[in-house]
Formats: sequence, structure tokens, C-alpha cells
Amino acid sequence: MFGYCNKVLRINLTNESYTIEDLPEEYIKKYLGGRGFNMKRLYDEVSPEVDALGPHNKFIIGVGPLSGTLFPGSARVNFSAKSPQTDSLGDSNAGGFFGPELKFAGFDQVIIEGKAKEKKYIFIKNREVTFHSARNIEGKDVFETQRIILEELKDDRVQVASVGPAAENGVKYSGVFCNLVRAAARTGMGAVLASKNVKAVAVRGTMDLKAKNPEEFMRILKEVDHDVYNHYEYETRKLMGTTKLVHALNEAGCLATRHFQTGRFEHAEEVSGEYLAETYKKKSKGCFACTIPCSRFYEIQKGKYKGLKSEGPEFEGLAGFSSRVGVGDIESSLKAVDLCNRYGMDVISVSECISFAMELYQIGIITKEDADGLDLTWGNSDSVLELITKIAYRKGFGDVLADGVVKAAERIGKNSEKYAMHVKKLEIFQADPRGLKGYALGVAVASRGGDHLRSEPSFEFTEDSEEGIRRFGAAESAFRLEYKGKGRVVKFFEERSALADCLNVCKNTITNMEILPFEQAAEMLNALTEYNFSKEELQKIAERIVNLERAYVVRCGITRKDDTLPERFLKEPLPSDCGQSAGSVVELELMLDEYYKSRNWNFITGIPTIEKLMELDLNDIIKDLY
Amino acid sequence: MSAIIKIQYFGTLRLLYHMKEETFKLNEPVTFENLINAINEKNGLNFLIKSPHLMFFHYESGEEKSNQLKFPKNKNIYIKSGSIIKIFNAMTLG
Repeated sequence: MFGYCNKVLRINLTNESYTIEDLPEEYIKKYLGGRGFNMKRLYDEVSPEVDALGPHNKFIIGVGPLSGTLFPGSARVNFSAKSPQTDSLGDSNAGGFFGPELKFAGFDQVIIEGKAKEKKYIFIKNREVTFHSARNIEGKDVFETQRIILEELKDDRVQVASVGPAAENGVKYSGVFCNLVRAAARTGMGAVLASKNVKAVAVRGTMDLKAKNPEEFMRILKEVDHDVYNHYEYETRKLMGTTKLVHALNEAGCLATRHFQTGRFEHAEEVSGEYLAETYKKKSKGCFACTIPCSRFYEIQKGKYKGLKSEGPEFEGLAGFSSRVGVGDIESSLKAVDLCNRYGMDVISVSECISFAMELYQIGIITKEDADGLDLTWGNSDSVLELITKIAYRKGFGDVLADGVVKAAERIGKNSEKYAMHVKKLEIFQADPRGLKGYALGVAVASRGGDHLRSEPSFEFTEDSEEGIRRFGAAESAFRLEYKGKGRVVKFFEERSALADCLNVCKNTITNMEILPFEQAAEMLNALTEYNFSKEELQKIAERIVNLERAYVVRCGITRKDDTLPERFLKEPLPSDCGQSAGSVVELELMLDEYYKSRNWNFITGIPTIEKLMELDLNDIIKDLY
Repeated sequence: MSAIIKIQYFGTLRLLYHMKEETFKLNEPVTFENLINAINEKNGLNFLIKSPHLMFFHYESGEEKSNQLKFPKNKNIYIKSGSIIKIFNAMTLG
């Protein structure tokens, strides 16, 4: 078959068996790939009522039609399940090499069910599955785990997706890690895999992938490569990856600083992507088949952390363990990110939980005694590092933080919930929503909770009035501090992001750089597969997935009242030192109305209307919502 | 009369030019366009002209803190002596 393997692997851990099923054609035509496949499977097979850490939850791995081809950035893989962190929709994806390898092993999707009787790792090789004891790697960190599995399997081309000790200890925001540092860490997918007594999934494939019309596929691919190389962001992404954002957001006055107390960090230069590249960067690195080597290897050659070398970090980790916790020492920030990678935890959630504790310490809600004697003064990097380890092993105060910021606030009490920076129980990123109104809306409505990657409405940085009018009917839509048009901007970029996640292509390329318009994506898929997609059909697929996800979270109890932001962003203006962002709060309701209108969702409940569901051929789920 | 204008580089320009800042001495009156041309002439790469639409220029002079300029839209704006211009790359998240 062309483009797809047309096979789904279903693994039953309880009796260590597996079956291979045909991929339903409906999946391809209506959900395209990766995230779309996983969301359909989650909706159909995982009831919102199941215990996320129980045997009835399912751990689902999905890749898309471009996975394993030479399309730049097509290295992503989606891991999905009901989330133990948010009690709702769980989904996260990672780059590296695992996704393409799964395709070479002959599968579009893997469903892992039940629970193993003892700790195991699963090895998938060319449509065959074996179960291996993982007793010798129990409790090992991500790096050690992956090294040992490669040694055991005697094949260094095996790709491993594993969890670290944090997941095994039940940390709710633990992730699945590929190629050491490639983290699918949002929404606690690592905790789900570990709850099934699975330490890792290893995969090796040597099977062919075929294109229906290889010449045409390569012709379009060359066009795409040309667009990537000639894009105005190419050089920047190659040099710094996402770490360019430290300076850029700081100057815009919306870099998360000391837990969003301000948007300007006085040590931004010392923790910037530029400084990292100038001082520590050794070389660039890219994912499978990518033309933008946006990841970087670094090494610290002297001082307290001499010898520390790793890959990355991305902006979220760098800012999370610098500005967000008030640390101006980049080397300790690199150490913090390295610890999170080794323990297998989400840098956004960890940095939120720690900065939340630091703010509570600052205002006297918690004391040194509450925090196991740690001095949680802003900028105390030793305390940050110690707390990361305490969280991973659920020791002392770390246990309070290990279930996420919402549960931590419940345990601490004393009105601390108002300081918890989350949406729908998922901790939010390192940019201050008050200075980015489109992102604020995107984070408020995202299906998996406080998440910028479901939309990435970066159009609002362009400041191009004419484009704003042409594309979204409002000049204001092109300006980050304006509101008008943002509902339409977020809708559009949610659908671009859904397309990226279904093709399993990096959002840096498809969403931020807007490479591969819907029309070109259809041409490419028509050259690759035996199907005949149109631009309109791809847009409809993307919209269908957003609505299916909304239906799932509605079944989990989410309504319009949950599409909101922490009180600070709605009521406390950014301080006067935040440049153009100074004085800003988020006026969310008007943007929400515009968003619901463009989505055709009920204004009061936030539930997709019956008319919209029928338009999207989602008639079968109407009964679940009405 | 000469105008002294300090340029601070961030993002791609800083890494490609291998410097954080430099000072330009230009004959008054200095328009924003004159300044961009002077930077390109000195440092090459033609980066500012090639992709100006997503370059961010923050203009700080004595009384005007952090005004944002766009090129070529604001090309005829006069830049005061003693001012600082910070140049950032396109800002998209990720």
C-alpha cells in the first residue's frame, strides 16, 4: 500500500499477546494519520470514566502518511491515552527517529492494552512482537534505559521510547522519551505507560514504504525543501532553535518571570539562546529527514557542572528553569533540564510546580519547614535542582508537587489555588498570555488543557495590517496586543496544527513557518497515497479532529467555564517595566465569543452544535453530547 | 553634524555578525532607511533588506522608550543621535 502500512498492532499486556488488524479506510479518509488516528481510537475505545492509571486505559501510538518519507520534519510520533494529569484528553508528540522506525516496522498505529504482570519492555520488529523482562532497568533513568536496551538487542539502529523513574514513581506529568531527550512529556503519557508495567517500547523496521507516484512526490518535496531553505526563519531556527525566544519575549515584555509576576527578566542576556549558542554550543542536530537542524549539542567545560553535555534545550526548558524561577545562571538551568530529561518529566509542568512553590514561599503561604528545609527564594538554583529530584522520587515536599499544580494547591490549601498557573489542570508555558492575546485564547481553549501547541497562532506577531484584513478580516489580528480577529486566527492555526500532527510533521515547519499550504499538502498526499484528497477535504479533516477532541473533553465534563485562564492574567496588569505589554491583562470573553462563532459551538456551553457535527460527518457522536 | 547611533543585535544577526552591538556614525539627518543601508553595507548578508517584514526594531531615544519600527514602512523616520536600536528576529513560538 502507498503512504500507509494499513496495519494496526494491538498488544494485550495482560496475557502477553498481540494481534494485527487492518487500518480501517474510514480512519484514513476522515482522520488522515497520527493524532487523528489516535483521537478517533481514544474516543471510540477509552471511556472518559476509566481510571487513567488502570488497566482499562489504552496507550496509543500513532504515525502519519508522511512518516518515514523524506518530507522535512516528518519525524513526529503521537502518544495518546486518557491523561492521569488532567483526567481528560491526553496526547503528546515527540521528534527524533522513533516515528519513522515504527513505519518501517510496518505499523500506522499501536494500541497497548491491559497491564503486564511484571516490568517489561516491548520490542516490535517488522510486524513481530516480543516481550522482554525489564527488571534490570527498573528505576533506571531514560539515558541508561535506552543504552541498556540497545545493548541487549544488539542493534544500535533500534529506536526506543522509554519512561524514566518519575513515571515509575507515578509522577503525573512524566513523559515518554525518544532518542534520550525527545520528549512527549505533556499530559502524563509516561505515567500511563508505566502504570501498565511497561518501561519502554523498542522498534526496528526494515520494511519498504512506497509512493504511488514517486517522481511527482519528489518534485513536490523539492519545492517544499526550497521553501524551507528560503524561509526568513531558516537561519534563526538552524542557529538557535526555539531558544531565540528568551530575548525576543523578554523584549516584548512577556517572558514568564518569577512565576508571571512580571514579563521582563533582568538576567535575560545571561540565559538567552544567543549566549547559549556563543558559549556552549558544539554542533547542530536534526531529526529524521529534516532540513532544519534546529537542535543543538552543548557542553559545559568548566565550573560546578563541568562535563555536562547533552542535546537541547528548547525554549520551554531554558526559560522554565531560568526566568520562571528567577535563576540567572544558565549552567544550572541546563542542569535542571538535563535532570528532567533523565528522570523523564515535563519541563513545563515541573517548572510551574517549582515556581508556584517559590511564590507561595515568597508570600508566606509555605515556609522552609513545609519545603523540607529548602530555601525557596527566587533564584536559588540549588533548591530548584534538589526539588526536581524530590519530585521525581516523590520524596517529602516533592510528593506534594508530583501530581501537578492543581493537586498541589489542593493539598497546600490556604487559597493557594489562585497562584496555580494552569488551564484544565495542565500547566501553562513560558510566555505571559497578557502580552500575546491570540496565544492567550489558544491556551484557554486547547483540547488538552493549558497548551500553546494545539494552535500556535504566531500570525499575531507579523504586524502586517493588510495581511490581517486579507486573511482574517481584521487588521488587528496581526498584532499581538489586539483582540479583533483572534477567534478566527486561533481556529485557523488549530487546524494547521491538527494537519501537522496528522501528518506527524514538526509544527515549527507547518504551523510557525506555514510551509505546505493545505492545497500543496493535498497534492503531496495524492502523489504519495492511493487516495485523492482536496484542499477542502484536508481542512475538513483538521476541523473534524478539533471537534472530536472537543466532544471527548465535553464528555469529561469540560464546558465554556473551563475555557479560561488563571486569575492573574485576567485581573493583574503586567508591570510598568514590560515595554509595550505594560498594563496588559487578557479580555478573554470577547475573543471566546468570536472563537465559538467561527467554530459554530454553543456560546453558553461551548459544545459543538448538532449542525456543525453533522457538517463534519460526526453524526455518530451527537448522541454522546445531546 | 554627525549622529551617533548604537545598534544592538539579537537572534540571527548577532550570531551571523558575531557581535552584540556596534556604533554607527552617520551624517545628519539620519533616516531609518539610511541606517539600514549602512548596516547592510558594513556587515553584508543583506539580511535586513531580504527579510525585513519579520525583523523587529526597537527604537529607544531619550524620551521615546521602546518604540517599535518596521522596515520599510517607517523608512523615512528620523533617528536621533544618541539613540539605541535593538534588532530582533521574527518572533514565533515553538
